[in-house]
Amino acid sequence: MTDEILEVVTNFENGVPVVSAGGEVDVSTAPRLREQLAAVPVDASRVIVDLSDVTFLDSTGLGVLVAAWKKCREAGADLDLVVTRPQVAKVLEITRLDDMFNVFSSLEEAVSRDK
Amino acid sequence: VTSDALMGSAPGYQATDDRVELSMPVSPELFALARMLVSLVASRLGFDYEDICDLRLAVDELVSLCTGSRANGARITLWSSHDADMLRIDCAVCPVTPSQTKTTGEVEVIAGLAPVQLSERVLDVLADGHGTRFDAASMTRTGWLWKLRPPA
Repeated sequence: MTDEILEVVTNFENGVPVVSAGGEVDVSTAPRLREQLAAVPVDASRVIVDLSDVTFLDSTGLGVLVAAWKKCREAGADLDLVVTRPQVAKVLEITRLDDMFNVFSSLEEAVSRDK
Repeated sequence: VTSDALMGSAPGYQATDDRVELSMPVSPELFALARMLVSLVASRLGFDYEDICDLRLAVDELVSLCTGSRANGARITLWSSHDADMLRIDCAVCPVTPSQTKTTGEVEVIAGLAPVQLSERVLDVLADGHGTRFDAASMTRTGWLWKLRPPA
């Protein structure tokens, strides 16, 4: 079941690593997202996590994102999120983590963000 | 712990007879079944898409709170029930110990909140009522949430 409900891939857009997730991020699948984020080069100045195709995100998934955000900050990098689905935006809003992350409404917008 | 005992914890609550019961090992790979259960029941009761999404997340957080981080060998049972006013989800996890509290395994504190508080904040917003209780004698942690039904 785990293999079927979350897919995570890393690509590069204009030299920026983009970790794209699709499916459900919960306690059983969050480790897959964590592993993919851990494999992102530490010398990147910013990392984008594209959650456009994430249909479910719980507090365990939020924990993974926060841990990645901390790691990026310690390395002097930013971690930006792309969120398009209302249910994902809502959990970020409820937990007030939308204040912590830079949240963009499309990958294009995130990639073209002014540094 | 029986479903009747759990239902008795809600004063004034008169569940109909068409309760649904789901029992499974405490295995994170199976928790999606709890979300499926609440999706199906809530849809049948007329909740809209946004409410169903809220309930899916709320049940996930309730299960997470009740199972803790190291509930190997335990089983979780969920009961879905409703009356004219509300949908109610009860769950019981056994055996567990008081120390088996939720951690994310990632960070102990998120945005100034411990993981348990984070789950509770989600439940505060998405459910109309919720709670958990630990019974040392039976080594059982129970949890419940309820949400008001949409007007007919």
